[in-house]
Amino acid sequence: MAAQLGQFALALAWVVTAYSVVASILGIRFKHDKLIASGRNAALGTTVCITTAIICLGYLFAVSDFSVKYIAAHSNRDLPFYFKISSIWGGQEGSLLFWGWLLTVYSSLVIMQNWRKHSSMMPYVTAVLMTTSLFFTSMHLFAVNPFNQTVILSSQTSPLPFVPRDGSGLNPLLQDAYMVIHPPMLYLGFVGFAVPFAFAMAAMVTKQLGDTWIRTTRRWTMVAWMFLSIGILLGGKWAYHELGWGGFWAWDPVENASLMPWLIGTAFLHSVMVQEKKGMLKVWNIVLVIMTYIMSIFGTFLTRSGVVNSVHAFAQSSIGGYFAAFIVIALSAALYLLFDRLPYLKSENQMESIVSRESSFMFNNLVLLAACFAVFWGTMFPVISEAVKGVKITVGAPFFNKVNVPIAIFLMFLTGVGPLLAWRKASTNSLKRNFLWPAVIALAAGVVLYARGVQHFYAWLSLVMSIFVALTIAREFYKGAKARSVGTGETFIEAVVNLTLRNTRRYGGYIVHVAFVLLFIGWSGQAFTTDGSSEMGVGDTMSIREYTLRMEKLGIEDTPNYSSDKATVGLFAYGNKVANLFPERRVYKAGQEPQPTSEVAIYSTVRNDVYVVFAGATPGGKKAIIQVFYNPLTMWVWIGGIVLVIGTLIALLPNKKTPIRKRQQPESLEEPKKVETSVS
Amino acid sequence: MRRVFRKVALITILAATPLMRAADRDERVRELSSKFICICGGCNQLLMNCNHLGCPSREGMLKDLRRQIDQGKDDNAILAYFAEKYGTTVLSAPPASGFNLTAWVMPFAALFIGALAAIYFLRQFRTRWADTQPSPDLAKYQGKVEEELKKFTPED
Repeated sequence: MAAQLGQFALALAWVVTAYSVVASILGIRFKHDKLIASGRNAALGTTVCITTAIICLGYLFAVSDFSVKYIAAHSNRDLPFYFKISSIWGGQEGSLLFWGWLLTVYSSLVIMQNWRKHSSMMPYVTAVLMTTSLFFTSMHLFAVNPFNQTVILSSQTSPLPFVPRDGSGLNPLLQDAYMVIHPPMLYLGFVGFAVPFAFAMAAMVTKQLGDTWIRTTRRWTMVAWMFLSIGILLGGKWAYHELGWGGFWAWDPVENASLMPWLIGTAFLHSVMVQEKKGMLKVWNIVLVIMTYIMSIFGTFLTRSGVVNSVHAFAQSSIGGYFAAFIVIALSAALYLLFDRLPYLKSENQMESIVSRESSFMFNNLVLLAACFAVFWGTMFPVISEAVKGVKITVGAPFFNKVNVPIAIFLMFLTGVGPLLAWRKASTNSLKRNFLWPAVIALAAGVVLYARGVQHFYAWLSLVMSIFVALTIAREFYKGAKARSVGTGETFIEAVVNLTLRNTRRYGGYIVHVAFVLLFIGWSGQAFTTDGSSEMGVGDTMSIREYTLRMEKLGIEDTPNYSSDKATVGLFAYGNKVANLFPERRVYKAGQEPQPTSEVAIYSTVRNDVYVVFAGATPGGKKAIIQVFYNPLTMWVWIGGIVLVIGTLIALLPNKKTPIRKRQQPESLEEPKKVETSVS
Repeated sequence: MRRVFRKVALITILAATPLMRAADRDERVRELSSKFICICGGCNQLLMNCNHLGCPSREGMLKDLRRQIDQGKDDNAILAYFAEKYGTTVLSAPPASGFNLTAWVMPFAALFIGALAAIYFLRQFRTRWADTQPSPDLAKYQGKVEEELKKFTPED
C-alpha cells in the first residue's frame, strides 16, 4: 500500500511540477497573474507530493517491506532502525529522491520568503527551480524509481512479483553514524546552490542586474556553502573512522566532486562583496554562480556515471547520460542568457590600484579557480588520456598533493592579506602597519618550528602562514575591540562580542578564516604521520613514538547484524595507561557473501591521534595483526570544522543595532578628552 | 686492547649491517608503495594505504616490490617493471613525460595565464580610471565629499 502511495505521489509530483513550469512561463508570457500564482501553488504542491513519497519510502524501510526492490537491496531485518532510515539515501534511487525532496523544500522556502518582496523576479525563479525539479522528478519516475517491485525473471513467463525473506543489507561501509548525517549535509549544500542560480537566471531574464539578486541570495549561498563544508568534513570524518587507512582525504573522484563546487562557491562568496560594495565584477559573479550550480550537478554525474573509478562505486549506474544532457542544456541556456545580457552587466566602478581589497578578492578568486581547475583536470585526466592516447592511467593522491598544496598555501597567504587591505587603494604605510609585526612574528615562529624538527618544507610553510593569518585576524579583533572599549566603556570581552554582533558578516568571516588556520594546522600534521604493524597475542606489546600498546584481550562478539573479532588494547603514554582501545574486524551477515570491514579505534588528543586497526588474524586466530598510525594534529581538522560552522552562523546573523553605551563621565567640570578611533 | 676494540667494532658493524639494510629497504618500500595504486579494484587506494580486510592484491604486490628492491633495481626500473606487469593504471601519478606532462603543467599554466589576464584587466581598469578622473580642482572637492560620505557608510 505504501509502495503504491509512493508511486502515485511521484507520478502526481511529475504532473504538478511540469504544470508549475508551464504555468509560470505562460503566466509571465501573457502577464496572467492567476496563472503565475497557480504556478507558485503547484511548486508548493510538488513539495507535498515528494514529501509524501519520501515518507512512504521511510515507512517501507521501517517495516522491512522487501516486496520493493530498493528496500530488499539496501536493508535487512536485523539492521538497526536508524540505519534503516539512513538507507533512504544509501543507494541510487533513494539518494536521488532525497536530493529531489530537498530541492522542493528549498524551493518552497524561497518562494514563501520572497514572493512578495521580489514579485517581478519570483515567477522566473519558480520556473528555474521547478525545471530542475522536473528533471529530478522525471528521473525518479522513469529512470531510478525507488518504488519498483522486486521481481524474478523467467525465460518463459513475464517477470513475477517476488518477496525475498530478508534483504541484502545496507553496505557495511555505510553503517556508520557519520553516514547518517554526511549525505544529507552534502546534498543540502549541492541543492542549495540551485537558489542563487535561479535568482541569477531570473535577474538576467528580467534585466534586473543590480545587486538585488545578490543581496537576496547571499544568505542562501552561505547556507548552502556551510552545509557543503559540513558535508565534506563529515565525509572526511567518515573515511577516517570507517575506511581504516589512517587518513581522511584520499582525493577520490567523488571527494573531488564535492570539493569543486565548494571552491567556486567560496570564490563567489568573496567576489560578491566586490559587487555589493563597488558595483564591479558583475559578469564574473554570474559566471561563478553558473559554474557552482553546474559543478554541483557535475558532482552527481561523476558519482553516478562511473566514468572514473571511485570508492563510491556503490552509487554507480547508467543514469550518468541523463545528467550529462541536463548539464549541457542548463549550461547552454545560462551562457546564452549571459552573452545576451552582457550590455546590462557593465561595471559601475573601476579598479584604482593593484594593491586594494577588490584586487585581492580578484586574486583570491583566481587562486580558488586554479585550485578547482587542478582538481577537475586531475580527476578527468584519466578519461582525457584514454580519449587522446588510448591509454588509461591513474591520477591519485600524490598528483593532487603536489599540485594543490602550493596553491592552497598561496591561498592561505591571501587569506591573511586580503581582508586587511583597504578598498580602492592601500597605502604603503597601512601595509607596514598591518603586516609588519605579524610577518616578523610568523617568521620567528618559523625559525623555532624548524629548530624543533618541523623540516618538511610545505608543512613548515603552511604552519608559518597559519601563524601569520592568525596574527592578522587577532590584530583586527584587538584593534576593533580596543577602539570600541575606549569609546564605550565596555570591557574588552564585551567589546569583542558587540563588535562581532554589530558587523556579523565581517567578523563572522574572520572567524571562518580562523577555522581555515586550524584546518591548515591539522593538514600540516599529516606530513609527520608514522605507522607500524605487529602480530600481537595477549600480553604482547608494540611501540610507536611515545606510546606503547599492549594486547589485553582478544574476543569474539556476535550480534544479529554482524559477528566480530574484537581486541582490547591498552594504550600507555610514557608508561602511564591513558586508554583502552577496542579495534574490531566485523563480518556482516546480510547478503549472499559475508562482508568484512574493520572498525578502527582512535585515541585522540590535540597533539596527536593514535589510530589502531584490527588488520587481520594469524592462521589459527591466536594473534591479531594490529596496525597503528601516529597522526599528529588531526584533531585540529575537526575543531576547525566546528569553528567554521560557528563563524558562518555568526556571518548569517543580521547586524545587531546595539545602543552605544556612553562612557560614564567623571564628575568634574573638565571637558572629556577626545578619543581617536581607527577604522580599517 | 686496540685489537679487541677493532674486533668489537667489526662485529658490531657486521651485525648492524643487515639491520640497516632492512631499515633502508623498509624506507624504500614505504616510499615506493606510495607511487603505486593497489590493483584489487574498487578501493582505489595507494598500495601503502590499502589495508582493507581480505584485499587479494596488497601482500602480493608488496612482496613483488621487496623482491625488486632486493635485486638492486633503482626506482625508475621498479616503476617501469610495475607498469609493465600490472598496467599503467598501477602508477599513482602520471609520469611527467610525453602527453602525461600536460597533467602536471596545465594547472600551473592555467594559474599563470589567469594571473596575467587579471593583471592585464587591472591595468586596463586603471588606465580607464585615470582617463575618467576629474580635473585636480574638482578632485579636491570630490575627495572632501567622499570623506564626508565615508562617515555615514559602515566599512566592511
